[in-house]
Amino acid sequence: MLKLDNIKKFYGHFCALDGLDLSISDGSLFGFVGPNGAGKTTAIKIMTGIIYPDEGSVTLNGMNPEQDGKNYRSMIGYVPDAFGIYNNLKVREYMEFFAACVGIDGMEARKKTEQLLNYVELSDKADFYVEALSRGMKQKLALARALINDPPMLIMDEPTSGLDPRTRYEFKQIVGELSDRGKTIIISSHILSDISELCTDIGIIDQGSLVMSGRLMDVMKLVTAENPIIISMSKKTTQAIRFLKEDASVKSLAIKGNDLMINFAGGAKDEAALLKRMIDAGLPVRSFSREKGSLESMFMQLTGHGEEHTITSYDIAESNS
Amino acid sequence: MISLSPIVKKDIEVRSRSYTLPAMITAANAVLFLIGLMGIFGLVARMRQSFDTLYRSFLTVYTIVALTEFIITLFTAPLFTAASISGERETGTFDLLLTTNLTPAEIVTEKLISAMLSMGMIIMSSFPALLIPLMFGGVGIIDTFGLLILFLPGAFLMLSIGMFTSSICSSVTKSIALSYVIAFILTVGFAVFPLMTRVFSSETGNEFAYLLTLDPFLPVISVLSRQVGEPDFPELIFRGLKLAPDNAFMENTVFISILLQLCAAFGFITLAVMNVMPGRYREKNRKIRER
Repeated sequence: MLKLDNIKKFYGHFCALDGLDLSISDGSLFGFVGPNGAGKTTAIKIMTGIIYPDEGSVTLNGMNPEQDGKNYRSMIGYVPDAFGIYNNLKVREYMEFFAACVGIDGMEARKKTEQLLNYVELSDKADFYVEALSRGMKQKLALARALINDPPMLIMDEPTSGLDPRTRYEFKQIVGELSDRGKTIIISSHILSDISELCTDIGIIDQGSLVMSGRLMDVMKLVTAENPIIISMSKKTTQAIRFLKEDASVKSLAIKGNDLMINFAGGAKDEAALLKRMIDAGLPVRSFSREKGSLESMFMQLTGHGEEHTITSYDIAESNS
Repeated sequence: MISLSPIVKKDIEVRSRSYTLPAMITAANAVLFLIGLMGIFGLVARMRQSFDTLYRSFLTVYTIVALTEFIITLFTAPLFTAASISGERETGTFDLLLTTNLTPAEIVTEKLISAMLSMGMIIMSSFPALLIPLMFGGVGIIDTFGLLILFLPGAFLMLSIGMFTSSICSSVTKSIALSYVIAFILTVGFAVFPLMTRVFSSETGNEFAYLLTLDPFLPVISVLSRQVGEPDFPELIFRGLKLAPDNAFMENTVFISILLQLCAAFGFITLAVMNVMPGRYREKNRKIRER
């Protein structure tokens, strides 16, 4: 288990991480999400042991990067957002160089290189210069390099950004396979659809501290319960708006075409009661359901970007006029 | 078979595919051969006119070629290390090295070794150029080779300066610029400063002259002046600045200077290692926050 305990990191007076607490259990596929400048990359560099925190502790299965340096680092494969490529080196040489850096030499290094290049489908590019590879191929090579010593944990910073849809799909397939093999994988990404497709667990970071973390399904359920109810009317929309405005349990209301979106205080029973009241009042309700939670909407809610509220108030003002 | 460390092996592979090192060696030797040959042709022409044998003048050409070679050595050395860490930071490979089994000290040391190998090639390749003015004798081959060996501490100091600036600068351009500023202060600055203060200060001895012992030129010029039979250079300088160091100092100036240069070089290397340690800014950040 990787555990970050009350991590603080400063750059001069700027606080990049402000008491970050995070636990990532073995075998999970963890999505690490946050807006730009939230502290994701700093947190990732601390997890990999590239930088040490100013305060707090990092442990991986009881090991600490400061005290168990080599052993700690050998447990982690790191794929940075920049590929980390040497010009004038061939793909095979690049792999063998990093193999030597982690203590794998000679025939073993060659064998490992062949295996991994085969795995990421780059074996036909083994004698190409690294700089001649496409962006997607470079990213696959970076992944192969990170796997050279078969670490139990992989940390990837924005691995799919800038990749074409096909390479992104292939990359996700490989990551999924690695996860199935039991590797713990941490992915930081802005592409929330990738995170929601791939990850089993999620952590959302904002302004240097963790806003929410847990199993993706549980977090989504939590957020869905707070989502607006969408009511589709076949007609009598104006009467329905009047009815809902007078209902005490409706906090706010917005209109999108023939749909009414309401922020509603109450559980499933209260929802059923509201629907019954509407039908009793002779309002022709075509559909009545909670909006499904998406990672995007959750991210916007938790990181305080109130785009939804802006639209809502604009729509209400328009409907009143 | 010699087992090379991964960074040294990789750097050799990368450099062998680049035109930079062969171009530098060719350019350096072209300059030295040009100076040497022009000097010799000039002397031969004069000898034909005057019917004098100007053997001592050949030694002057040797001095000029040797000093030019040393200047080239000193001012190309930072180029080999100034990009070593900052360049890796620019390409994003330095973070990857830190995630391997290599410690920051090993990374810096291996980078330095690979730069020293390239620097050594430039220095040693100039040996034939240095021998040209000695065709009529004057200085033995072993002594000439010894002079080249004496270039190494100065080159090592310059390489370590480049390594230090590379560890603190985020870009290669800044690192190269800063390394040249430090190299210039250490060579020209440390020579000019005592002389300037001598001009503007009182008649008494000028202790700033001891800064010269850190100047890489001191041991080279000192040995070179002895080789060509000129007055002892440190004696000339220190007595000229009205200083009276004891005899032990005067007799061992070359040794003391080399020792100080090596100490300074190890100081710069230590600072470079500290600057690439994962916890490098922790103490600095704490002090800033406390203020």
